[in-house]
Amino acid sequence: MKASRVEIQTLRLLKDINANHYEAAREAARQGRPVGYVSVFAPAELLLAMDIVSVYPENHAVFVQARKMTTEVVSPLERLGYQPGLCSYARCDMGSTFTGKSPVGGLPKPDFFLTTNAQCSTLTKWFERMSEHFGVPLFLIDVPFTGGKPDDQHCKVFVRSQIAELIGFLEEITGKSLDPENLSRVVEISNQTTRLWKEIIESAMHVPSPISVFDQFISMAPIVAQRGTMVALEFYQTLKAEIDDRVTRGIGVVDNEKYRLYWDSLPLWHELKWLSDLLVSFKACLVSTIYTLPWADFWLDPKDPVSSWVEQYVHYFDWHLDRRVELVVQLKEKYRLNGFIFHNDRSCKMFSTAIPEIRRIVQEKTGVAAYILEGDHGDPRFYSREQIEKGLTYYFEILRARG
Amino acid sequence: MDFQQILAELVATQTDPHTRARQWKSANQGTVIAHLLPDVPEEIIHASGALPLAVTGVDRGTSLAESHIPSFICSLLRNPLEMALRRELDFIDGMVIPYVCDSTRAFSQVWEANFPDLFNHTLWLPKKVSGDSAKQFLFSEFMRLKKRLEVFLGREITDQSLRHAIGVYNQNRRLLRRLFALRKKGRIPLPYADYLSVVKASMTMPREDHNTLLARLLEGLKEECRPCEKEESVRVFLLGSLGEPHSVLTLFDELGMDVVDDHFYDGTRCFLQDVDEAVDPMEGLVSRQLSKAPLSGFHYQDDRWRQYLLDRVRDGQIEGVVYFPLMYCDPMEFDYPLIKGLLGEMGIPVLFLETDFHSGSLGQVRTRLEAFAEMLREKKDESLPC
Repeated sequence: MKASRVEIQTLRLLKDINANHYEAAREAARQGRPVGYVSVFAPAELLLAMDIVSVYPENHAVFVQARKMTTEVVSPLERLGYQPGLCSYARCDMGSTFTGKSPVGGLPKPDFFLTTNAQCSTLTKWFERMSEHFGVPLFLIDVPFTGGKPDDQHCKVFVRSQIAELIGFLEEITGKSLDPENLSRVVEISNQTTRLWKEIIESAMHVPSPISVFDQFISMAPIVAQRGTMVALEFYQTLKAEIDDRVTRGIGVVDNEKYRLYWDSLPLWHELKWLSDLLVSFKACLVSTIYTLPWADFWLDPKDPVSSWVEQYVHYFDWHLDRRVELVVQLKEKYRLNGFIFHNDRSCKMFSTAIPEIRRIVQEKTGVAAYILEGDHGDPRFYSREQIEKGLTYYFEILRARG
Repeated sequence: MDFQQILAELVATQTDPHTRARQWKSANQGTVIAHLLPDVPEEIIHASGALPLAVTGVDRGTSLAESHIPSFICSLLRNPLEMALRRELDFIDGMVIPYVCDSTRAFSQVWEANFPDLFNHTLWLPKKVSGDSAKQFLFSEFMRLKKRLEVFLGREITDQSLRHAIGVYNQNRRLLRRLFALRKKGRIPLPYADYLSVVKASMTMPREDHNTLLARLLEGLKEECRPCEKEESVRVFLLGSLGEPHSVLTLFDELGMDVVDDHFYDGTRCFLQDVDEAVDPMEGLVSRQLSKAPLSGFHYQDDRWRQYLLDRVRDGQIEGVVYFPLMYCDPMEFDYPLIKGLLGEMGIPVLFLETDFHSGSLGQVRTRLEAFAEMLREKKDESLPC
């Protein structure tokens, strides 16, 4: 029987949700609310509680890539001296901003930038150039990468004092003091949303899996860009209800699901459909990934969110080699995985540098073959579909032979 | 030994960087703590009684390393890993890796996974270089290195030994600045490639030895002092992380470009500032780190790049800049448009020349440098009064 894919209907709501998000940002800016361009691990609840409009350049870059505008916007950027080897999120977002070619109908002008290098250092450099372009300040939450070492008390002190500085910085921009009640209200909604996201992700433990990693990639935009709002909460409530129904009725994403795989690192945003179809043809479903996990663990202590942020920055984002190996080994049991794909993303040195080593250790620990897929999360000039298809065909032959 | 012999010995460390450290270790039954570049406070290692050794690499392929890290990770990391996998670093007792970018951040764990028996330490350098919180954090971070070395070596690092180390290093910086100044004025016949080897040698041998050799070298070179006769050449500044491959550096002299200054991790950037000997030694080290010449791996909230470039251009009467990143260096690639713009405002042309430790064929590099030199000469001629 030929394998096929059974779509999740709730995902259709995303088109309007995402479009409305950018329209609302433009409208809020027109009404004089301050606008911040922020990275995805910025403390979203704090910004929302201070009535700041948050625009996420990473999310924006995904839209540039998903609308296949990469080449159109990065070529002019490269003429300014930016090299093609740089992160394609950065290049797509900067290219779109500098050329004015927008996939979302344009962005409001920023009043400030905010990032943390807990995610990666690229964001700092990307936001430096952008903040210079707009002539507005950039606040960096500088997070030491401790690699799981215990002697890190001074790192927590450093991050805590920066969050205090950040609150002062935002109060100056908004001209208002942070209202703790506002923050509590937003944190409450955010925590509910985070919990739902966790349940949605974990529903992939069911066999067959009612949701794939591709579905997670597509549906993560609201929890990234609108966490703490009712829009995001209601979307995930609807999504969760549909997933629960699929579980009850035994509906899987992939008919006759045979391979349950882990995906490491960023998506190939240009190839979601193509790669998903390709995997379906092998009766393979991506059921688990490190990439969408953080938003399942963003729970904040309503009484003391600052301490939660400090803990997240110093420990949660500290995805060092041992921890990544440990995670994959745990996920194998939890999700009944029988294969691993590591995306060696040319555009993301933060994720990719340790991939050959992680793959080696994971194979040793689990006895399951793992595949390294050479790709790029947003620039199709740096990989070939042919090569990916050939590599995966070979990989599934190995998995089949090993039974 | 006359100064020519000293020069030859120092220059030889370019192709044979570790012999001196090996000899020191066996003669002293000592501990060698290797480190990657940039910005590891060598004085703390020196004060512990161990020998700090900067590991960069030599000009060759990195096939062994590439089964552990992707080929698109820069050779600043690929090279030391290659050397270690080839057992060429089997004499080191430890490795300190500074966290300056995404690659170094992940690399330190790849290193630890492969060499778990060494004293491994990642230096969590703050990316912010101003503000009290960054200053306090860096102080604690330098203290963490100090404490870990004390535990590893089983001995205390006293203020007295720190002050002594700082004195030795400041002496070295003073001597290097003298060498730099003489070359800049065109007073000594020392090709840039050899000059940089002399500077780099300081990081691969006991600093006291380098001080002795350098003082004698300066004496000898002073006797060779002559008036400047380089009217034909154009004065350039090399802005990059490492001056590699070394074979590229000889091209500058050949093509009539006088490299009067650089910004390399193991070049001018190492000796511009001293550590203040009048304050607490750890505070002195922290202040020096935070006031160093800017680096793409760090985040500046002030106009330090502009000020730095203005100073270097004026100070060296620079006519052109070669922007010299190692291939796959994201921070330097992100900074290029900024720096090109700043230099543009000063009327200084820039050539972007990405290199890798492994030189391969230099034909294309030569052609590009030739064209750049020609352009700088034409510009110079146009600006001369008739």
